[in-house]
Amino acid sequence: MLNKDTIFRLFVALVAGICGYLFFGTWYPWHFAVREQAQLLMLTPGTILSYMQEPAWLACYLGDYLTQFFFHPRLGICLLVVVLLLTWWVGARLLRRVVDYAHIELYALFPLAAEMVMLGRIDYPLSMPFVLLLSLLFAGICLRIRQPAISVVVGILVLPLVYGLAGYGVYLFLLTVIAVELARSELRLSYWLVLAAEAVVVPLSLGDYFQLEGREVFCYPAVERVWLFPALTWLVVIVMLTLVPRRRFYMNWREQAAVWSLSFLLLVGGLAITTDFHREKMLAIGAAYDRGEWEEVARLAEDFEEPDLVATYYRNLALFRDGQLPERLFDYPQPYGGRALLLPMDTLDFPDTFAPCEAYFALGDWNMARYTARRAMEVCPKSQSIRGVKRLAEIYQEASDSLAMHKYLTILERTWFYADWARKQEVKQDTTEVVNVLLGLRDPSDARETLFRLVEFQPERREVIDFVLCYCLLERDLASFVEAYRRWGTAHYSEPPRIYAEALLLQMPPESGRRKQRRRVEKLPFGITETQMKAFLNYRTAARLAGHRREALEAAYGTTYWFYDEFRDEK
Amino acid sequence: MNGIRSKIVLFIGMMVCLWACKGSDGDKQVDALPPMYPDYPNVTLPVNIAPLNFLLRTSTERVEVRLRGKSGESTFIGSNGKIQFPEKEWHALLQRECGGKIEVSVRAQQGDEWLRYKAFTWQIVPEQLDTYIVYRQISPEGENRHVELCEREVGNFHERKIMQEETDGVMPHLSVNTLYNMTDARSNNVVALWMPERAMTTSSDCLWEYFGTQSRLCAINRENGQSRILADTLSGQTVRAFPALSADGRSLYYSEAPAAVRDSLDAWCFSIYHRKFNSQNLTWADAVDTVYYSDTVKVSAVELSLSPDGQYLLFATTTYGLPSSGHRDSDLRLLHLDSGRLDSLEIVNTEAAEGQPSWTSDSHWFVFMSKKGDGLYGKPYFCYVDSAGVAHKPFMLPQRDPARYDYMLESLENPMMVSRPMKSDAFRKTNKIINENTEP
Repeated sequence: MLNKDTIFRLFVALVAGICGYLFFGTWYPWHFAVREQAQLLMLTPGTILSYMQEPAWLACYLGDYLTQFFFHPRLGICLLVVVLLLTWWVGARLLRRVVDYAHIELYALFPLAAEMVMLGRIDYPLSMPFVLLLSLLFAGICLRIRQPAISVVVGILVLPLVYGLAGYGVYLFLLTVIAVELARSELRLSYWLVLAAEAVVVPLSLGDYFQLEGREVFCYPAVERVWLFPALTWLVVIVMLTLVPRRRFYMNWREQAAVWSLSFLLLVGGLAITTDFHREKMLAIGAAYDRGEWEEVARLAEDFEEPDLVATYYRNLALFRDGQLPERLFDYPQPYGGRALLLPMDTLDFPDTFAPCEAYFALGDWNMARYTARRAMEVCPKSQSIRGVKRLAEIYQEASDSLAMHKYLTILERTWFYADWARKQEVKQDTTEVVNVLLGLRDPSDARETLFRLVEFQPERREVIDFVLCYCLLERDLASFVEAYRRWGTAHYSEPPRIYAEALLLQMPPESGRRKQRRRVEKLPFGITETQMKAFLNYRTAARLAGHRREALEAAYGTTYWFYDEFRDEK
Repeated sequence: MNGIRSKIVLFIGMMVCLWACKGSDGDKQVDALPPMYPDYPNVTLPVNIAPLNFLLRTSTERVEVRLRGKSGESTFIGSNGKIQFPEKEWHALLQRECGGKIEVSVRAQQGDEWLRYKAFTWQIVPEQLDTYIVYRQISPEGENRHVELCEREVGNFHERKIMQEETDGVMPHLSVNTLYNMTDARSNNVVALWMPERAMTTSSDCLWEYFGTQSRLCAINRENGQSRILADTLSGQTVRAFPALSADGRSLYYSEAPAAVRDSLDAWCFSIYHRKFNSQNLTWADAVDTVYYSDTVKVSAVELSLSPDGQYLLFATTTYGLPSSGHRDSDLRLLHLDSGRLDSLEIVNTEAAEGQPSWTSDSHWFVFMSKKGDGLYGKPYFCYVDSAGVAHKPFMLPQRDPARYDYMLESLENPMMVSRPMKSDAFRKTNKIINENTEP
């Protein structure tokens, strides 16, 4: 039979675990999934050796090891929750050494809540929970030793080890040991002073070796100060409890409720500050695009109250991949012009930097695709990314470059979740290498030139022609549109799709008078139909009657190119 | 009793001998060199090189390597297809075999079968490499926002980062050259190859963003801070680059081309010229010798490296334009300055890019970057040039884990040999000197 204390602990763990899983697993999974995409962890001895070149190597390695499981977001969340609960349990055991409250476990919820709050930030690495866990574990091991002489020797020997394994956790270790010994009334001032001196000297002396400067030496791997929040929360809790007179008592339900409420408030209030649901939605769209769920991309893009550049871009690309670009392009607001088809890299921050590569990859522009893939990798935390490596393998596969492809596949074969995929890949025999070479000499900032060259070397791909035509339309570059349509579009369309016809009609010189208009209808170029011409004339009449007011025309003509051309809101 | 015991011992001994004999006699002979990576068969090695660890690109379980030289035979065993020689034993072996050849025979276990590959040799020469190699670790096709400068001891596997920098698309101004001259001064003057735009390329095969004509050749006296711009082409019609100063400071070789025109970039070729140089007052002579004229051969000659003894000029050739690393077709050429003979270095060049050559201080070795293998990532190679001026088969900088190059996502470029370790602040100090002295 479980006693009351055990049942209580299990209850607290269950509540904390369910809260964590529900929040991160249900409402916030993509922030963790993108971490997995933005790192590359190979399961080789060399990888572990490279981690050992830095302080806090075990925390960093375990953090990255855990991150790879977010390949399956829910599995990753489960494991993360287990790590958090383990930290909570170790913390509760240590707090029990400070004061013997019956429900002391509740106080250990504070650092747990602080850790969950920080996990809402996309830049907070998963190594940080391990710093807390490892430092508390080592403190617990040292405090278990009852013989004073042995505990002194162990403490002095373990402290440098803690720095090597958990970085700034060395201070958590030190202060926890002191706090617990204070609470036990074991005043060993000289021992504490030696530990404190060691905690300063060890990082300083290793700073040069690890190439860390200034504050970094003491805070590594906490690059940002705010990342220290969970550690500080732990210190506040343990110091506060150390100062409480040592006596045994039970918390009544009011006190329990107060601690529950405070930790819940800390969690909710903190998450309100650190989480970014706008970005979460963006990441969800990116993930849906990655899975090839085009309808889902369109559905998720509609969730935004205001049009968003990256969301619009993904939706346009999904339409392109689905072969519906000309049919549905203006079914949605397009306030970003051509950028919503060819996303510029310079204005983007991580993790949106992965997005621009998708368009070039879909178009078959291997040069720009691998360039943008590498650029995206460069802004990842360690300038490495499994998504980038996989994309590069795919690019070289499509470009029939077997040597380069094998380079990336070899890397992927050494990872846990991509090895099977990598082993199944084969080189595609293709002629795209010709395109690859010929597209080379150009100014990459000149999108029109890039796209025109791309079509020039693969005029048989109608979807690429559509992409170029739609790009011209979004840029309101009708001269280029007509040129591209004349050169390549006419070979694929006997009758232009609606928006093409609308753009072509705009380019025709205005004529007035019924006879002239009739003559014009008889001579319509590019296979434009009489119905399309009549619709255009109707639009012009309606616009004139409405005084070219947007509100009056939006309902009837909101999805036409004429409306876009006249009323596009530039962003 | 003793008789029985000795018979048992004898019997066991005979069984062991029989088992041992069976192991080698039952080998399947393979009439080919082992599929080893890196490509180490029949290479020439300096006596101070780190162990040539390698792996076999087959599903091999155990590997046995026998090294036989004039001093005897050593056997090394590896698992999972990898051989990693113990450092002490390796160096002792090279010392013993210096000046001779080591015969290398490789046996590999595949399933129940042992394969015996064709033996090859390693020639050990007494001419040593300089103690350290310095190289840049960069992304091969990105914008190089993250650049690391590393130093590696050639005699072991110790590597350290001298500098790591977040750049804004522009590479450090040929930091390696500068560091080289700072610490390994062969002349009193530092020649800084300072081309702010040189590294702004995106480095993909054909994507080229260098459309400007801005480059200048400067000479700087490190000791008194004096500087002089030798050729300022910021608004001119000519681009001059890749200066190579002779060890006595009297000769200057450089590449020159007409200013690049975007539409004819694929015909933009550099030739090599030579002028007398006065290292005292930092001036060059008006008279120009043409060393290698690109119009006649239709290739661009870039990345010059003059051997310290003044006998050889190494350079890279590409079909057009500037650095070799972005051109898959770039190759190395060795010009014998005394006879004018041009060696096409067939033993060195491959289908992948070769370039960025640099000599060691004794002019018997040069190090260069090659993208052999995957075609994307640069790796340092060492090549021996004997007293007759003949280049030997080069070998790749060995690594503790021979599979390391497989997993690297950085290209090791601009390799240079130095004889003393770099000081961590040398890069910043030197760059400061250059920047202060060459501002327009």
